[in-house]
Amino acid sequence: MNKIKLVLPLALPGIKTGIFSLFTALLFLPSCEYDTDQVYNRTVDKNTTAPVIGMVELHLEGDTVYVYGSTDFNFSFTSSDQEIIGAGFSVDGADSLFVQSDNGQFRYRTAYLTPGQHTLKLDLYTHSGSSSIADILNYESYQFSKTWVLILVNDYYTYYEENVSNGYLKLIFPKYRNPDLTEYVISRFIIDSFREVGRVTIPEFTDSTYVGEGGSYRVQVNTSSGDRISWGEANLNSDLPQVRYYNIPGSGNFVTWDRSKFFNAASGYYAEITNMNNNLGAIPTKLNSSADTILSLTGFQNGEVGLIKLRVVPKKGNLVYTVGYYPSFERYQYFTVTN
Amino acid sequence: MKKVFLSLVILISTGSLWSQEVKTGIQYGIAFSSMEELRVLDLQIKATIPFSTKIVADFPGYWYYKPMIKLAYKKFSVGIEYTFNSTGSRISGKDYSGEYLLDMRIRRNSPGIFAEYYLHSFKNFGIWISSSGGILFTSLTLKQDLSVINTSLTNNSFSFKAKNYFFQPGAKLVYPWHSFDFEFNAGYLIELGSGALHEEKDSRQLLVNMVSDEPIKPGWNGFILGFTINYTLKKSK
Repeated sequence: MNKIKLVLPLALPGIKTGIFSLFTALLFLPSCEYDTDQVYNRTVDKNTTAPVIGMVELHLEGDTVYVYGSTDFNFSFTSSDQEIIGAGFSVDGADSLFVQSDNGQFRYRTAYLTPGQHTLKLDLYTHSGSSSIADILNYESYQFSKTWVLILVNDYYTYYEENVSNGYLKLIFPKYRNPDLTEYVISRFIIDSFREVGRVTIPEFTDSTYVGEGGSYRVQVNTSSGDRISWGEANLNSDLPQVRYYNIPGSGNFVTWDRSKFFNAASGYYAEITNMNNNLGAIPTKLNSSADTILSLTGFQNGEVGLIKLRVVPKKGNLVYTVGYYPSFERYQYFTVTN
Repeated sequence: MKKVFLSLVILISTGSLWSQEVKTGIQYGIAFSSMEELRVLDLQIKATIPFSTKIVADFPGYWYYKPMIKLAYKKFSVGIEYTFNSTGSRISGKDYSGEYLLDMRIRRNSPGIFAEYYLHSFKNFGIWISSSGGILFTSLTLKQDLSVINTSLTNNSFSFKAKNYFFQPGAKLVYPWHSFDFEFNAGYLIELGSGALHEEKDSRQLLVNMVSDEPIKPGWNGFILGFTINYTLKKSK
């Protein structure tokens, strides 16, 4: 058997012992490379309970929701405890759209939906409240689901006809069907812009100042989420009484007119009669009742031409009349006296 | 520096022919490195983490070891040395749902030369002053790991390196025993140079402060306390 002798290359006295000692010392050295196994165990609460979810703007009791045109669909939720992470929306079972929100308000855009009936499913997620890593990174949550029938209406904007009820102008418009309705706002075009003339909570509006002078009305819907939806408009032509001349032999000459359709909104009439032959100037006459519809002519000879300007005077509150713009309340009529 | 180092190797190997003694030794001890800029980076990273974490290790003083060989005269000695030292930090957060770890491990490999001068002795102890200098090769590994509900979301590892120089003044207490010298060493390492930590394979990618955008240097400055065993290879005749 061959013996192998380990020979150290350094021929110095005691070197083997010395190097052996040093390497022995090295063996007892601590680990050369730093490492640590310390961890920080976070304080968490695994035993949380689900929060109570509340609906602020759109009431969840209803199962059918109407969406008008491309109007955004607003949801607003509150949570009794844990914060809301976000909500996933899916329509007709299609892929869910997730919207993140730290205040529970969501806006669902319906622009791409076709008109008609759809099924909308909403999954609302809240934090678990455990404060765990998964909770904070939104990997741990409570989920609440709700399904609605969603009806998308695109042709809701309508043009209203003139409607007279009990001597007043009455605008009747389609009903806004969601429970988040606050009011309908009615505006009227005055001089150069629309000015609000009333607010109602039912889909009809009576203008107690309109006397047939013509005008443009606009209706908007206010919702509890702060949206204002253009709901429709009415463009009314002038509808003032027609003036006629007639002669009753032995009694005299008269001008008369039909009673205003909007008689309850009118306080009376104002008339000016001008003899076009003598050019002496107009004779003003004021009639304080909308039921007075006849005026006797004096000072006219046979064959003379007259001009009557009849103005329907509205009761207080007519904004167009208030600003002093009378022509739209007036009708002119020439006549020739025949005795 | 390489030339100086090589010259000293040659000097020691040939110097043994005429010098008093040739000694070899191993020193180990604890280096307390400041790592100021890396500590700040840890704080900045911690601030960006959305859940609560803690810096459970913040570059503590850690063991180093230093083999050396020297020519020793009666009141003077010179030699070459090599030091390995490491330390690190950890940002940690763990709960039932997951775990986050950010580990930094920093190492230095530093070859150098040193000189020592005898001052005084009392009883059997000798008091010496020393100084050394050399190159600091630093490597830094940064590992980030985030797992949630048994799923790994992030598992990144980055390696950086830097080259700097050092100067280390110090003092030691020596107790000779037969062919051995037992030493207690104290010193202060001063990092020199402007070498910033850069990505291992691309020196253009620097590790920077998240706020100031300034490149980060290793920061090995700090006190060093050690113990040395020297063995006399060749005694004076």
